[in-house]
Amino acid sequence: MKDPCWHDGCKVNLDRDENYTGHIDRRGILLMDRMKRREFLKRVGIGVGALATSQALPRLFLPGAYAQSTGILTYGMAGGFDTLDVTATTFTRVGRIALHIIDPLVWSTGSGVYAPGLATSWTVSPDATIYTFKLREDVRFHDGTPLTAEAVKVTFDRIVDPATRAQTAFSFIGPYDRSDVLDRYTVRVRFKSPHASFLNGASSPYLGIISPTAVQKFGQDFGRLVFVGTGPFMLQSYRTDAEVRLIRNPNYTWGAPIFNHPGRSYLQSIVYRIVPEEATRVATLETGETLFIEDVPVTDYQRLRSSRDKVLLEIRQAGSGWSLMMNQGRPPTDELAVRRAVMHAIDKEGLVRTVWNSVYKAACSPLTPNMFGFDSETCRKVPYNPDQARRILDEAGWRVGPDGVRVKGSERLRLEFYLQTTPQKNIEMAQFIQANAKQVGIDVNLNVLARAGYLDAVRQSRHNFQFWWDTGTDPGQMLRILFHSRNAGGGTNRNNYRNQDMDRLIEQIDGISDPTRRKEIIVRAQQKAIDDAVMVYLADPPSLYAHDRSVSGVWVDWGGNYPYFFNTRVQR
Amino acid sequence: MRTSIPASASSNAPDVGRPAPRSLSREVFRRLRRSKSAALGGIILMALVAAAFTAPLLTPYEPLEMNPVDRLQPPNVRHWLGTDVFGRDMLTRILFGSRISLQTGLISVSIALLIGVPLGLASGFYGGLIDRSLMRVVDLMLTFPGILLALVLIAILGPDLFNAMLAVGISASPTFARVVRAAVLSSKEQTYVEAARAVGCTNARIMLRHILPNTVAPIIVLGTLGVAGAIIAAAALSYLGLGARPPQPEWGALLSEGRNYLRVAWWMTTFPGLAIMTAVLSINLLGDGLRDALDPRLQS
Repeated sequence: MKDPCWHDGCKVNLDRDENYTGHIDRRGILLMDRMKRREFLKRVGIGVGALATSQALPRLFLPGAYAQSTGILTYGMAGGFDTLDVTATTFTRVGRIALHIIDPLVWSTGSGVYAPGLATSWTVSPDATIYTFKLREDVRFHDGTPLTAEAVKVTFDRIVDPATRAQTAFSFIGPYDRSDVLDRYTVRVRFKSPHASFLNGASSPYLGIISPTAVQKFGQDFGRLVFVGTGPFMLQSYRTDAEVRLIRNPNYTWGAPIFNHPGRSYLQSIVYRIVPEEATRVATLETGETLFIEDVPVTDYQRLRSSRDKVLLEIRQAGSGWSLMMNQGRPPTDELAVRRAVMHAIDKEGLVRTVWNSVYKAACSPLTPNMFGFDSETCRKVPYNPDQARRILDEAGWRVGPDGVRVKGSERLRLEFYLQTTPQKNIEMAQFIQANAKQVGIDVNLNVLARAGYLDAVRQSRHNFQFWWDTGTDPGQMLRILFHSRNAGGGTNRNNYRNQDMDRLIEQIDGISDPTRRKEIIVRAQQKAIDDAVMVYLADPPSLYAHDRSVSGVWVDWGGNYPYFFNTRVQR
Repeated sequence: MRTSIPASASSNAPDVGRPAPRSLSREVFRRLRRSKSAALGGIILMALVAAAFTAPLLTPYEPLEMNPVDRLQPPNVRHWLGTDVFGRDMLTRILFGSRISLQTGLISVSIALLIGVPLGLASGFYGGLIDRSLMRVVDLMLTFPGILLALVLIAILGPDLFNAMLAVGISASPTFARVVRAAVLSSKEQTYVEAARAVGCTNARIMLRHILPNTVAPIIVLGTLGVAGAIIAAAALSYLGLGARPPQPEWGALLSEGRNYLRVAWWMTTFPGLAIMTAVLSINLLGDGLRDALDPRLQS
């Protein structure tokens, strides 16, 4: 049957709301079109009023609205993670949580400086292949079982067990061979080849000792639902991508001597809330919904620094800063001249000023300045000099074409830059680099992709440029990640830089325990990386945390990665 | 709800069914001018289009020119709408962005028309199995919200401005197919179609020469309003990083760039937002006016 109102747009009054006139057009579709002016104004007024109220109310009432009982620390975390099992994870955030649940064998108090943790003393063989640890005898796991040498052995064996699929922990434990239980409280850890940086790994949360009884009892659920260590806090609950609750371990009496705190923690519990959106995370701190946040955006840096009731923690981060990898496996970045020109063309000072608000510092080397072996000479080696970049390209036969982009033969100097959609700072840095490159006649094309597409592209070597940023406290490990040929071809060395001399240098670093000689090799590796124009080192970030002024006694490791709340109090 | 609809439609039917007279456009234009809001919309839109064409003449800056010394400046005499984090002039970026955004709207709607009109025409004209199968496909597409469908398409095609236009166009096409089909259904019963058939016209000729011209009115209305929707959809995709590539100054991308600076640089989001609002509002006003003007009930 035909709709009686098929051809003409007959006006109808809708019985639902007198203030609208509905209108059926020739398609038979009901269209809402007119609203009386007075009604319109009234609704606009209500809308504006609601908006104003929502803005004004928090200012009037909120400082107390989220008031929490002292003794609970709420922590705004920047994102979720894979598993709470610190042995299996790849996430720094898991380490941040787990450090409270486990105790490390040793604590690192500075680059290459270690203090007792679960181990009261230790010895290292001269060739750095055998480590012997003497354990505390008064330590119990959360499940009541005592800490013994056997637990250390089980923890380390589990890391190298392929079934665990350990990631970060696996790289920290390096060429692990086996552990021998010498007596109830003494364990000897053996490596197949020299592993001078093992103590650094042992001080990280990833090699924290876990309860063998619990691992056996819970099997697959260990790390997913339960996680049992010896630390000052115990896992209470974990909701994926939402919240992790820790509760005080009432029996904790074995706090490491460096904390000068023999009893249990002051805090009753720690609640980690996952708040990925930057602005929201800052807002939770400002309203008091959280008392501590990580990854403070640089745009809020000044405001939080000058705030009277918030404290900004700024720790120079250890590892490798933001840098630009240049793929040698794909033209034209396979050409040394092109890479060298790019190094001179990028205005790092301008970059950190514009994109990072001068909160980050211009970088010089693959290692951040607080890393062991950092070479300050590298800061003078490649100054920003667009003229020099142009000269290098001219000499290499790249002539400026009609549109300002250089050409050699039929080839245009066009570079593919692959980057991820988040964080947004990525895109800003890339735009800055693009503009810098354009000035010397290099055309940079930005491909901003979601994580999966991005990883596909760079693992298949379709990129000329990509970003890198890494944290860690062991220089040998950092250089291995960036430059070792074994990590090329789809691994972490997306420079696809293959150089035997560099490989040899990196392998030497791990084999030497003498600090002076070790430093010498690390310096040589950094200089070689610059001579071969492997990467451009852009900006060294600080780790930025912020907390409410009522929070005191926060300890952060020298590398800036792990805020530790054993000595923390919340006082109103 | 429909009880108050007057059942007087059939008496007007011959008017609607007659072949489009030559004076239709003049008549529509005359009526359009009488509507103040449509005239306003038209003027604003024309101004925007003119600004897009003459952008390089209107501003001394380049849209991609970085000038870090002037970064994050609030609106002032030199930079009327302020500058962004790289010291790029916001006014310049918005003006050049209008080229991209208006184009995006037009191209997306053209794609939607190219897909939707033939589908609707065939479906309405042939009826039967063709109609039923085509309309089920259209139904299926309509069950997804347009933006979701566009997201799926982008996920398949990869993020790029043209792919965004394609995705928006494809996701808008079912609506066009529906509208055209409805119009075809009503006109194919008319006597002039019967006459054409009696004279021996082929199906193709009847469809293209006799029926299509009579479905133009709803297509124009929907197309105009569709441009507004497409601009918003494309801006939304670019905001999510799925449309324009940086450093293209697309309006949605501008919003996205400014979002982390809301507390320190309100102008980075406010002005692109206003630009989107102005463009969409003007197109909607014009579209509303066109709908009234093309409304056959008012035809003299």
